[in-house]
Amino acid sequence: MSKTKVFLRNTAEYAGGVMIFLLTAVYVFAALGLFSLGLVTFPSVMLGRLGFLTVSSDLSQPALVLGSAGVFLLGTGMCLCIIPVCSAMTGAVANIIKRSDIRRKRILYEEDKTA
Amino acid sequence: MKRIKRLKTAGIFISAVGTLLLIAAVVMQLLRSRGGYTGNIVYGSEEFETPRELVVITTSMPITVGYGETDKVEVSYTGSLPLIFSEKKGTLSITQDDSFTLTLFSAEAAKQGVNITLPHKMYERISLSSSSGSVESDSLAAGTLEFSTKSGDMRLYGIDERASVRTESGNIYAEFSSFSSDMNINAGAGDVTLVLPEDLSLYLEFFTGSGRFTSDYFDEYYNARYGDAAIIYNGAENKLNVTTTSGDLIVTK
Repeated sequence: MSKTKVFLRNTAEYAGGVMIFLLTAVYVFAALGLFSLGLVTFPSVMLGRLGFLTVSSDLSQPALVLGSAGVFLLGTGMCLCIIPVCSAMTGAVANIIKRSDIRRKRILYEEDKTA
Repeated sequence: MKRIKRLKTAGIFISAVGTLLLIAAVVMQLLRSRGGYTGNIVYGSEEFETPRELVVITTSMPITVGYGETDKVEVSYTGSLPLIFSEKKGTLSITQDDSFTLTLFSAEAAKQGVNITLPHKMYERISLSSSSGSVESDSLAAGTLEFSTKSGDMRLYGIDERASVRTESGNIYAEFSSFSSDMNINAGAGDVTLVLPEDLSLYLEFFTGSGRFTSDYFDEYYNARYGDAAIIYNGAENKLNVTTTSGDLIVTK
């Protein structure tokens, strides 16, 4: 493998690593956002149904109950997956760095051998 | 590792249930919305006999009042709860129910406000007050005219010096139809923009903590960076006193 090819491949993999990191960040923010939204809306809607609170909305009451419960559960589920997702991301990025390093070392070794 | 796997499985399961519930909510909403609006935002309209006094107090609803070709007071509003109306001894009071309401997923709630159309008449008293809502009036005539907000803005067209204008942090825009006596305006942190009749004989006092005075009204362009200002213009027959803490004052023609 030529030096340029190794450089291009390493750069592409680094870019992929950055993308994975960004996607993970988006995932974490979405999970926390949905969880917080659900944590506020679901109990409020239930309190509204029980008559303790006035909840005004453009949505019909059943859709509001189902929607807020859905957001709450989706957020909770996504929050539970934060650790597995982050550990998978860390593993993938570590792999990328490791593979790039090996490739770089191999090309240096091959250059030394040719010289 | 096993724990993480269990966490992952539980997370995926709960997320799947949540997604199903969300889909069910969307489907239910689509089915229900075929019959029209499904939410609980209140759209109301009422008519009243012409009162001597009109008092409007809201917490968050913007208030708009003006004259129209009508022989009754027409009130139309959009809000989370119905307005409270009371007619006593020639006074029509309109009050926003300030019970705590929580607004979720509602674009309609953003359109909240009360519009009042009055028959042409000289009223004894008109008092419009809102906490965070804005106040807008057009050429109202009353013996006592009071406008006050806490953080809401004011747009007052065709008022005169007899009006009482007071806000804590809202901006004030006032167009005067006439000015023939003295007037005080208190605006706290809000900016004050005054459109005055031309060639007014005026003594203007502006007291402020850190506000700025700008004007193109007077013969010389007046621009003070910070601090109080006092101007005698055209004989100083009428006195205008404006007090702010950090709000600016702009006087224009």
